[in-house]
Amino acid sequence: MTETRSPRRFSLFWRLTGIISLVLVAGAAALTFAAWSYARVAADNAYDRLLIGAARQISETVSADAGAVTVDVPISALETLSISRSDRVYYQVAAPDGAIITGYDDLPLPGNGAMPSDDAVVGNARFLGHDIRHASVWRYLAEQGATGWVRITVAQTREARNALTWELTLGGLLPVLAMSILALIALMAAVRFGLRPLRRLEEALLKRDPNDLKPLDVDTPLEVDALVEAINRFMARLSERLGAMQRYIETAAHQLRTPLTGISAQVELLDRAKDAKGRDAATARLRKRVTEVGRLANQLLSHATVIHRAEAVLPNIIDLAQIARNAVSDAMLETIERDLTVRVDVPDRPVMIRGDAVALREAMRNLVENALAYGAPTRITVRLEDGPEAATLAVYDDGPGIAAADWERLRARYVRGELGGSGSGLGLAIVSDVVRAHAARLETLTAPNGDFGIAIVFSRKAIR
Amino acid sequence: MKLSTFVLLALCLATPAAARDVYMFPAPGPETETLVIEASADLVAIEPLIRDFQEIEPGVTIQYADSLTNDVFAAALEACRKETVFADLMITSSVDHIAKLTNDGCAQRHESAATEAIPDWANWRNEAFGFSFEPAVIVFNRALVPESDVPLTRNALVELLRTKPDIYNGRVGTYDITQSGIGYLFAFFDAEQSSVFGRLLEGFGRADAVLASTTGAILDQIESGEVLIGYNLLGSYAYGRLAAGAPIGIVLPHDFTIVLSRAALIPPHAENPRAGARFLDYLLSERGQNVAAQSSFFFAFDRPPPENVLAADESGGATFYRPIVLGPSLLVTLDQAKRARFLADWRDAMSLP
Repeated sequence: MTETRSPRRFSLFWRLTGIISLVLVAGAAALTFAAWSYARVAADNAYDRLLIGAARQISETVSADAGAVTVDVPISALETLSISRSDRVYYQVAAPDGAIITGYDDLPLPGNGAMPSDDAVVGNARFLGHDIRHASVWRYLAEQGATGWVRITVAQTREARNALTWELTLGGLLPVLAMSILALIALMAAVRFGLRPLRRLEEALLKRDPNDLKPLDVDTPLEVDALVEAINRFMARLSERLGAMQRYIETAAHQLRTPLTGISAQVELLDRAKDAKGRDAATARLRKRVTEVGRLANQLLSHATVIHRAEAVLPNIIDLAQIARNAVSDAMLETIERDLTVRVDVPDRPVMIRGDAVALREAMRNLVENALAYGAPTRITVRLEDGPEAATLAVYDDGPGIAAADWERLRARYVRGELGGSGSGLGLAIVSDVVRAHAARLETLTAPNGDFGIAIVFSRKAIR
Repeated sequence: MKLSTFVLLALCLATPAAARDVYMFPAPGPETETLVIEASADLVAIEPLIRDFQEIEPGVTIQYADSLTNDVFAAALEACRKETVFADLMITSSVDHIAKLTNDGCAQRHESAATEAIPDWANWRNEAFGFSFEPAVIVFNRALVPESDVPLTRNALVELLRTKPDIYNGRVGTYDITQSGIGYLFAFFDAEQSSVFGRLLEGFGRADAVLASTTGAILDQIESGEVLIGYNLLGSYAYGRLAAGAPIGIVLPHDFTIVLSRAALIPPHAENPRAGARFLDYLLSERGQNVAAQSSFFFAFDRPPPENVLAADESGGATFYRPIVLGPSLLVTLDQAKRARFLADWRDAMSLP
């Protein structure tokens, strides 16, 4: 059973693992971005302190000399900025009137909103083809001829900051990666653990004896209950069918054995017959027996067909009138040798129901044969009545009929699906099976002219 | 070494004041490419390196132009701003110029095994490279200065000037830092390093020191005996004289020795930057350093000083070396306000008008 694979097969385990991996990757990406943003801010904060420190170092050397602002840029200020040895550094000192005292003339400055104050202002810009970070501080000079805010701006390229940012990001990334891998492993193990009841179920089914169709008794979680129940229901049906088949075979064997033994005995008698008269009598008995066995075999095959079709064939929309007419033509063939009239009494219009034409034909044949065999001295009538509540298909004969008590006993046997020891029992059993398969009823009727009839009643409700 | 072996073009271009000597070194083999070097370095020191480089790469014709440091710097900066071709390699002793150019993005990045090998202080951003090792030394006349007077430290020199003014007044010499870029750098980093320098300057002032704009001029006077002791002179020049038989002695100051490294960079719009990079790699290579140590600069990275030099530590990797670190702090030495102030202080200390 496990060998049949369709191309769209999938594994629950890998599907769950895939979804979990996706979630983890998305989470790791988000965390990485967060770590990078944080690292960038942290790197900027760290290096901004150096930048501002260098600006303050320079600002301390600002002085006024004879009305002119001068500055003595200390080498330590630039050394502070070049700690990383990888960055370029720029500076500019501007007098209160805006004149550049020293440094790079065209260094980008803080935006217009930056007013001179004791606080440092930092910002990003581009200079000489590189991204830079600049910081400005102001120093108030109150000297003769030089009064106002002197602005000191220093800047550096971002290389060391970027390097630190990536270092910090990578530092944060490793635990995220490790955690993700751990989580993935744990979740994969959990999924495997969660799917274990299915494996137990599989093992229980595999280990079973093929003949063991008892309900499964495996410890399964709630989610799998429906599956177990479906399996059990399926096994119950299988078991029922196997039972029916077994009973059928037993019965068929039993039914055939008795007449075949009779035929053997007749053949024996034929051999021992001393004269022509005795031989004729034995031959006549033998023929009768053979006919009976033939009929029995037909019935058994017919029954097998009916049982099979009831299980396997989907019903069609069929015309009951046609079934009735076919039953009469079949009966004509059977009654050629006898002085018997066969009549059909059906409406002109079709009477459609949902059913299996072949099975119904078998049922009708058996009803007719039953009437021929046990009643019907002169006439048989096949009648179809189409009422608002039900459609009734009946076979009447002018024989003695079946006593009410016998009928009840027979019907009880049909309901149980048992087969009787006689041909009549088998015929009615076939009818009963077909009736059951069509959700119809089997009833006895008495016609206005006193004929006894057996009817299959198709309730309209059941037909629809 | 002979002038006849190369073509002296000595171009006098639009600016007659700017001396720019152009020398051609034709490829010894079939010429495949040309390398243009703009420099401010004596041809005598560079020529052995160029010749040896052409041994390895005989297909390279080298055009070598020598100008004053400020002129090279101005031309390089202008070419960088205007994004025009300047040279395939720029060489100068003014490391502050190199630092400024690098800081302004006027250098190409170059990474190789050779650039990895040099000390950190001589490599900034893999764009500016120091390729020589030039200590600032004290030079004395071996015949006229008794051994007991030879100053091994700055303090000893200060003491000597104080205790024997009769002998040394007017007979000590140093750079006129208003005239010399290297002199300014040496003085600047001397002053950064130690307060002794201030006292030394006062000593020079009292002793009426002889000032000259080049190491060569002072060395001439020391050889002739007019000057007995010279301070903060370029070690490579002095050793050249010593090796040539001059009666001089050389001291690497034992308290600390300032070291300058001539620097090179590949300009951003070079026509043949690969050739520039190859010559640079050659300068930094073991072979180039050997040639430099033998015939150009005599001192080199991580090597013991040459013989007959009075050093505190003969092993080479000495801690008393204070190299001028190639980096952004050199921007300060170019700061005009700073320079004006420093020169004013220097004049004051030297009691100059």
